[in-house]
Amino acid sequence: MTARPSPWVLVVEDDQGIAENLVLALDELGYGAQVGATSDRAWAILDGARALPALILLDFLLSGEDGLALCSALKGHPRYGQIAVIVMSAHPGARARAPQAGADDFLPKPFDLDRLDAILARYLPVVR
Amino acid sequence: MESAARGAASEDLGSGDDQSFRPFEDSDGGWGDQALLLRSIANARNGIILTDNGRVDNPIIFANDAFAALVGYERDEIIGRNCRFLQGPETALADRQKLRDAITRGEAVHLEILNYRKDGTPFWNDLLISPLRDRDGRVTHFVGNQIDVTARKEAELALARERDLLEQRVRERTIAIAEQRDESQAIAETVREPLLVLDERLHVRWANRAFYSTFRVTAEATEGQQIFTLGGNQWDIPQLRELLERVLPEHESFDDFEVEHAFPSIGRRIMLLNARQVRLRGQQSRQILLTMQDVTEEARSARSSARQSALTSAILTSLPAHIAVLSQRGDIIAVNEAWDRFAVQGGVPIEQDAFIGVNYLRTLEGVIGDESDDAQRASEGIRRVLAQQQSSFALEYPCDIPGVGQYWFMLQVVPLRHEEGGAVVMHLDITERKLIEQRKDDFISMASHELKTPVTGLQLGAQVLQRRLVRLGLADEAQTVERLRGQITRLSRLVEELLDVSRINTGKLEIAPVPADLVAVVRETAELLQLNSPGHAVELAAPAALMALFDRDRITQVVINLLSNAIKYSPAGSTVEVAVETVDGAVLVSVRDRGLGISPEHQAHIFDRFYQAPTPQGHTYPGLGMGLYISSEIVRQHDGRIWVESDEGAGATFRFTLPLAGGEVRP
Repeated sequence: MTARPSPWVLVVEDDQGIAENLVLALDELGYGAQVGATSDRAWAILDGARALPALILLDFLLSGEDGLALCSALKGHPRYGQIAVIVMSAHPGARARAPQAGADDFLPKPFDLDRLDAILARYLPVVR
Repeated sequence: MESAARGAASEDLGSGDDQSFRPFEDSDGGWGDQALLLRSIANARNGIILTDNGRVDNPIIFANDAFAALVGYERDEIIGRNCRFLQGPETALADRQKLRDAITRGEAVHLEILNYRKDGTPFWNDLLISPLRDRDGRVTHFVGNQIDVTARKEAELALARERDLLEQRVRERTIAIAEQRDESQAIAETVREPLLVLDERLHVRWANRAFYSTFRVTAEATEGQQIFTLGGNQWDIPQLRELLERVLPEHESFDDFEVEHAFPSIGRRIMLLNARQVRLRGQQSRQILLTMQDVTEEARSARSSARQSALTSAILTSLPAHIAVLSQRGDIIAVNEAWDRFAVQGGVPIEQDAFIGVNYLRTLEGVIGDESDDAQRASEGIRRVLAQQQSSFALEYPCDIPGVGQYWFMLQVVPLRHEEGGAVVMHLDITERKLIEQRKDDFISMASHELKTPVTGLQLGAQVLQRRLVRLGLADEAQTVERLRGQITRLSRLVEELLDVSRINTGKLEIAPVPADLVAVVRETAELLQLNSPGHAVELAAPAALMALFDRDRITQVVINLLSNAIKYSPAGSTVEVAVETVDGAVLVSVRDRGLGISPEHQAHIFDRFYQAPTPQGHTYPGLGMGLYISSEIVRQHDGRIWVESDEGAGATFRFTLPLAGGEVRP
């Protein structure tokens, strides 16, 4: 996938199944998307992007890595710190911990398209 | 005066010139040495008198100084009187008679007679009376020679009294000894144990009836025999011989010397022998009192009870549970080895310092508030069991053992079935079970989370597909995807329920009750379900508003569960009635369906975890049996009550209560 001029979303998600469906859903909602399955990959996408993503959807549990650590690092970054980060998780404890890592919002799994649409609308201009 | 009178007498006698007093002078004047003789009589230490037998009543015609001093009278009070004036009330009649007889007969007499002085004091008079005869043999005078022997006489009398007393005592003692022997034997006869009295040579002096009846022997075959020869030498036991032989010489008694012997007449018995040295008062010889107690039955039952108690002890020791027995007051009166080991390790706060003698309730109260309220609950539970307010008590509690890790124990308290009351306290190590449960809960939790991710993907994918099919004008295909989404929603709810069950098991189901209008929540839920179930009528009967204290999301979950069950089990076209009202200071929510109802045996279990009530046809409805369990836990955590009322075939009414929130109605 390549960066597009329209608002795009960085999806940091190690589960390929949900990542693909998320990209499909974001596309349905009119947003472009890129997926980074690991934090290294996420940094690489950000560093190589011509335009910054409008929003980052970040999984709470990346395999072997702490999604919240990545969230803190992003939020403390001089360039990327301003990008809104929404933490997604099926873990109920994540809701309380996400704000501590500087996350802007929390999206509990499972969620449907309407729920995703509603939360994105809070941070992104409506593109449809 | 007295001395003057006496002096006069001496003078008279001494000079020998007094012509009026010459009793021994005869016509010849043959008393050449008379004066010398008179002088010695006058100075003699014995009292000497002369009486004139020729005159009426034998009057005293001479008395020396010693006599006057002896009797305490003046000479002129003496002269001319009969000697009897010295006699008094105590003077023996026999003595008086003797005197009279001797005088009458003109004979000499020697006697000891009680006389009285002028001042009335008595004295013992050693009196020798001798007649004086003239040439013709006629008694002319009597000479009285007297000595005061009071002191000797009194000593003699005292001696005689003492002797009498002694003899009296000896007589009494002799009787007492005889009585004592009788008494001792009488007592010995009342002793139910066989008893022997042995002499110094260990010969039987006496045996009581119990001895004869127990050993079935006769007195003839026993008395006078040496103990070791009795009954075919059955008592000839070296150790007993040694003990018995030491009793008298060394004043050694012995107790409970056990003899097990096959007695010829009574078989194998176990006897306890006791020996004492005895000496009857007044008897010189020492004796041995030997009693024999037949303890065969006791010994056998003791052996059997020792075996029983060893078995009980072995069982208790083998048990891995930590067991203590508490008295009615909560004192530890017995513990098993596992308890002891644990108490010594001191790892567990509620077993620490819990040794025998310690009050366990106080031990528990000492650790209350340390970390959790487990100690408090344990203490209260034990108190209730001890007070017989509760037939048993159980509590599962975690406990961190320093350097070992976390353990889980189950405290079980049951009443001690004993007349004095008390309780048995057990701590079972349930760490293993808890670990397995923990793993299971972790698994359910993990599996649920893992399921949620693909459900999310499915949901998103299906929704995108549905929208695109609609855009393409493929309505039928879009409808198929809509049904697919319904199944995904159901899957999603099952996953959520599994998670709730796991939360309940681990105590992590969190309830945050706040005051809110319950009617509004029930109405919204009823309207939502009515929308989704056009085939049924959902009717609500409720006041405009009712403030209760509850967690909005969780109570919504309960109402959804009850309403969707009611719709599911009601025939199509029937009405589901929902009511909200105030009853007994609480809010009551009721959901009534017109279904088949629930039989009483299923009503009892319908809120149990994973319980599925079968239909009258024996089938079970789809589902995992989690909904009502979760609902009941949610209501319970609100301090509410949930129950079902049903007549089989006439539908069911599920009801639950919630606390009122001060009765305030939100505008």
